[in-house]
Amino acid sequence: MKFTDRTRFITVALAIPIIWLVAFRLYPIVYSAYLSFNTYYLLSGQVTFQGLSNYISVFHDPLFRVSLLNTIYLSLGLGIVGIWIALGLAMALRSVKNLRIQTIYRTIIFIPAVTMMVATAQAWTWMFQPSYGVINYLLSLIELGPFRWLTSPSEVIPAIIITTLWKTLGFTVVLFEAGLAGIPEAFYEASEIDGATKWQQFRHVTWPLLSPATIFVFVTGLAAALQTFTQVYVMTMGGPGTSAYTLVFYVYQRAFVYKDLGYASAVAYVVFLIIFIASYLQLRYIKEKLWA
Amino acid sequence: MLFPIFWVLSTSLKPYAEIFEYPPKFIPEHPTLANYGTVLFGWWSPGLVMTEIPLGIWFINTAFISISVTACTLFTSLISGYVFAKFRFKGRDALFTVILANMMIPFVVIMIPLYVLVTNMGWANTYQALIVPSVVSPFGIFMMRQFCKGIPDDYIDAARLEGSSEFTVFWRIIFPMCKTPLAALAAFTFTWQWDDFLWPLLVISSTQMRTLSLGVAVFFPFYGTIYLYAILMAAIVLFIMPVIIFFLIAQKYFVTGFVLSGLKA
Repeated sequence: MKFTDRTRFITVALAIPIIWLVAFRLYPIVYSAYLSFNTYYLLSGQVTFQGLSNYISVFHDPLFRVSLLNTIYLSLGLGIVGIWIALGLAMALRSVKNLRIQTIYRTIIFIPAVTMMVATAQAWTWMFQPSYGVINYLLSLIELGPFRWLTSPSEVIPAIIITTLWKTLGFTVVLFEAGLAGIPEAFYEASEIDGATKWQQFRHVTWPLLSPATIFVFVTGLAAALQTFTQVYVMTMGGPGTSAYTLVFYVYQRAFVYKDLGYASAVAYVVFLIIFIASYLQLRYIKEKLWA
Repeated sequence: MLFPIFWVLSTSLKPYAEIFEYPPKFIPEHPTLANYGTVLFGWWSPGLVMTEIPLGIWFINTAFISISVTACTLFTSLISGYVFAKFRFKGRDALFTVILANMMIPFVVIMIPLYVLVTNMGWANTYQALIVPSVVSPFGIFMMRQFCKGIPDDYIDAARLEGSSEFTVFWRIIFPMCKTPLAALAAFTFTWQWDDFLWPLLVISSTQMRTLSLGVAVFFPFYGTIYLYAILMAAIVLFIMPVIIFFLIAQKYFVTGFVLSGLKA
């Protein structure tokens, strides 16, 4: 009696996740691999086996290369700039002694994280507007610019980085704050007695002890940045020209604008491989650094 | 950090002519609610061709989808997280590993077959296309499993000895104990769902079925049409306010949700 009740409970509990797993994850992964070896146009419906030729084409595809370089630029820009700003903000936040004011600051920093990406992208598109936009106006007050921002091939990626940074910063700050809270005060007191400067404290106490948080921020941030899509779609549609194409945007274009599902699947698999290798290398590098 | 939000608000209150003023004014000289009228009730506006923006319908669509997905995710995450934490059965660890491994799969790899699958089932332009593929969250299962592991077995065994069925144990003992992480997971899932863009873009083409993200992105053309910006900013204010208000009320759960997601993954 008790046995059947237990079995029934486990079955009911896991039925939905298992069906979901098979139908919406495992099957698509396999089907996508299959498509990547074939030519399949959405409208014709005809599947022709191509062997590796889709993959070979990917490596000779200039647009793929543009998308890849843009994505790397975007990810590194976001990662490097974002981590320092977020860390600075987190440390500033922790140095606020009045708890109520601290909460208010935290709320302010976190609000952008709950605004929608589409809304964020459109708001910044308006602010980046070259002739009427407020950013060029503010910069002109300190004698900078005017910049062409989204209408310039060389300024469009920095503009997207700034927009993304604004939205993601709050999340990173909260993570760093949790990491900072885990560092025992005693370390700071001890190093102060030894006469360490602020910078030495940061370099030898904060930074090494914060590394789990930093690693997490970097790994998740990179995985998200490598999949940038919404900002690019909303702000410039990959433009001007193709100068803001990212990998996911390119897959989207190929699959859903040109209806070329086979080739797009091959690109998607290469993207997957890149994300996988990047995360793996990162974790390995970090582990060596940490445990060495 | 708040300047962009202030700027959106300020632009949304400007009459048509003030959009083109340079240098721009931070506070509108002649503030007006006309832009909100255009967005909500289809009031006529200079330079605007379309008459109606079904923002209300998009709002209902988005709310319905986000709430459904959140409810389903909470249920599947809690019940299977609990089973993975407290029951021993054959294949448990293998299954759990496979589910966890899904957190590593980027959406770009599965979006094409998922699109083919969903359209072949005739689900294009339906709610289920947006809800069903998201009813399970590997991250949610992982999070709830970690939490359930911390619940002492004694509670569960005591209830079993009293003759309670497994469902009763789950509902009366486990569920009440998990309310805090569930709230955090709910805040996380809800915001994420409210924000989702790429998947609705693929499976929704009819105006009536759009979500807010999709509607606001597609209805307003890209840069270059400056005269629309005041109206667009009014739409954005209406778009982001519900989540910001929700966030201000339930702030505690948002922040713990993000931190939990951070420290445990």
